[in-house]
Amino acid sequence: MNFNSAEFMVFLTVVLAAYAAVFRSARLRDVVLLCASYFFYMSWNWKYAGLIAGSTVIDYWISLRLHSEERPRVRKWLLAVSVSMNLGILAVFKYYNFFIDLAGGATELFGLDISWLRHKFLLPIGISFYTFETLTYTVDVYKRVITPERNLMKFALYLTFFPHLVAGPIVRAADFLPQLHRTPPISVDRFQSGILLAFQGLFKKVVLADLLAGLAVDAVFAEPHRFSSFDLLIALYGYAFQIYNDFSGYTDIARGVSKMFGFELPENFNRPYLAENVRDFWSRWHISLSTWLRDYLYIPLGGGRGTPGRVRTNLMITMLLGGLWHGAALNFLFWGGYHGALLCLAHARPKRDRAITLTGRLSNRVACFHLIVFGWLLFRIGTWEGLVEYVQGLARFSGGSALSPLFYAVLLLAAGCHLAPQAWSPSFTGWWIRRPAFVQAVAYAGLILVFCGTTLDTPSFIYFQF
Amino acid sequence: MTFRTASVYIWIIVLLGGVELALECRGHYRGWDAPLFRAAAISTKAVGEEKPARYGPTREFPFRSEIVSRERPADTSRLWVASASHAEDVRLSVEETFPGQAAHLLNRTSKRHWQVLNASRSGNLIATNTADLSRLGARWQPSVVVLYQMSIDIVDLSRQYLGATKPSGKPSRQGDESGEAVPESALRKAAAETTTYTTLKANVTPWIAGQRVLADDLGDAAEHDFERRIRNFLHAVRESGALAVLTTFATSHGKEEAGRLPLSVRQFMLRYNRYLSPEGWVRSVARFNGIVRHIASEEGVVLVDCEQAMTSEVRYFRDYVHFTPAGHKKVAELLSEKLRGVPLDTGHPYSELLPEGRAGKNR
Repeated sequence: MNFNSAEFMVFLTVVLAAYAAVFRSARLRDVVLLCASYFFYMSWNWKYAGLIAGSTVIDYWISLRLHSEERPRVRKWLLAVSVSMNLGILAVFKYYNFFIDLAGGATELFGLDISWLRHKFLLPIGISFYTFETLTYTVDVYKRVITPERNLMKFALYLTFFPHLVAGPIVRAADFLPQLHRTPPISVDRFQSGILLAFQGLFKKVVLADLLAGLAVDAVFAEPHRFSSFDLLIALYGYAFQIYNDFSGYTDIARGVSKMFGFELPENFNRPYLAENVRDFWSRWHISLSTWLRDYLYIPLGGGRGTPGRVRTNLMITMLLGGLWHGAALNFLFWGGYHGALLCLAHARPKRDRAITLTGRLSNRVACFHLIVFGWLLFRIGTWEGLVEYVQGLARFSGGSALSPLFYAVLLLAAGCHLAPQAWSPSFTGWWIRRPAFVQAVAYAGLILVFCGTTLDTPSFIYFQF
Repeated sequence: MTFRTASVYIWIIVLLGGVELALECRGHYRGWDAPLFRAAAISTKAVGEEKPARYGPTREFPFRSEIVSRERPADTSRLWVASASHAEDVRLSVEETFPGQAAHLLNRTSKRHWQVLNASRSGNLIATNTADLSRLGARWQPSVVVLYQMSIDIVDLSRQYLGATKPSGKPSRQGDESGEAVPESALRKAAAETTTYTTLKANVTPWIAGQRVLADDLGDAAEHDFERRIRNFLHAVRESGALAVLTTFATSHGKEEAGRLPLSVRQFMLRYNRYLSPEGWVRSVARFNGIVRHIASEEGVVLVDCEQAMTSEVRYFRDYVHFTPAGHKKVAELLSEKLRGVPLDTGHPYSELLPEGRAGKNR
């Protein structure tokens, strides 16, 4: 059940109606949302509902024990059980075949075939996201940053709340659980700003991301030899904006829908292509993942403390694992390594005392954007031959364009939306939600018709595969 | 939470419902098949309901043709037509479609009595025709099976080989002509059937699709796939004990006109296919017709060359692939010319129609 589907519209309408009907009862609110979340999850694959339910119960029990237990040794064991279980499930479903393939490459040298060890797993949707959420919760309870949730239903709802279940943002228990303990502050303004945010996300996904992909990006990446260097470059820019609008569009829909139920989810993007350096980029791109990696991996590894060599090792490990989080494939590992290398270079660069001029900042942004865009090549192209072919195509420096004016128009629109000052968003929201309900509805109904008309291939969200 | 809180949401639902209702009313008054007014619109059901005793499809008789008994009378030949909307053509009466007209012409000019089983349905692929024949052939005992198919398979192959869905090696699912993946849930199907959705898909999406990077060729793998589909069909015909007749596919514009297709034809092609350029479409039809001719010659199958007789004659077509009444008449004439006067039950019936030395293979 994709967010951009008729099923989801009907599902959302039914859940909103049920939620409104039981709104006065805190317990029934939780029941409605939990049932809806499990229904939503099972609409993808009902078989794995048991997996997430089992993981929920075990982590719930472990967190309570962790809280009541005073013996450090036992607490460490409990933490180890929780972390191993969650990472174990993730490793089996997501990385097992990847490591078998890697090991197979090595054993092949000795004439040993271990491909029979491969197993056809169906990846449980959203597993990378909810595993990180359970890890956050257990580690925070262990560190006594938060007290464990005693209500199993609320804890289950924290993990499975349907807007963020499939592709994040990665929500921290400290941010979300307190919201479940108060009456959701739903007002006309909040509800309408939620609808606006959800439609903003749908616009990013359906009009910007999908059109960029459908009009040119997919075709150019499929057969780069057919296109000029100029087209290859433009398509690469197109992919950069496609992946941003696809993922940030999903996050906006998730945040907007949550708002309609009275919950706040964290922001996940902050105009990442305006970053002045790679470190800045990671403070703007997939913020919930980058802060998770910082707090639960980079800092425990030692963070910025120690020798420069040690810090760079920490950076590299963090980014390699961050890359691997995206998928069990070498290209994601290389992509993580590429970003790790860029961060190490940035770390090695001496800090300048003098203020950077406007031109300097602009050139930094342009340079950083191109470094990031080159990284997307590694992310998108799964084979070495494909990567070489694309880079060779770029290096031909041939001109001319076979891409349509509509593609250029959508690309410019995407870039324009990205460049729009951040301050415009709240002031526009404030102005828009004061328009009469009918006027707003006419605009939204019109947008739905536009979405139906412009959809070419009904693709899913890119980050659903992670 | 109050109604006022959700007023925008409620208004959106009301407005979308209003747009759908308005478009359905418009469609109904123009005689289209709108979901809310389906019973009153022109459809196969309407024909059946008007003359329930004479024409299918009905529950017992699943063909769009004159109802006949299940058992084939001894002196009667049965012509099974496997096609899609080209032969079903719900805009016309059963007698005006080419299967109906072919039966009429054959009965007028042949010594034997002919019955027609029009197993054509909008959206059918060759694989669906094959499955239908395997399922129902033994029960309805056709003497001759004619295949008139191509455009929907081109759409399906373009989706498989050029689109996001890569070939899986499994038999294709039944496609529809909208160019959309076949809806999997009832809800999605209902949404895709609304007049609003179909209107947008027919008018806005082709324009957008025309702006994308389109392929000029389906590729060798798709051609092999098409060939496999035809051969599978012939196998099913042989299994049923009938005689196979292949046809080339006629279109309003041939490959010589590929570079100067009218806008309406280009829009029509992009309405049904989002991956293959209009020029690629025209070339694919020509190449696939070549495959059909090659198979007919290789396997000793009777061939009716509709492409040669009809392509580029715009008076025969109401769009790129569907026939006008004149087009239906022409196909019926071509078919009946080939089949006329052949004694089916004495010796080999079609020896004079088949290439030398191939007669035995066809049965």
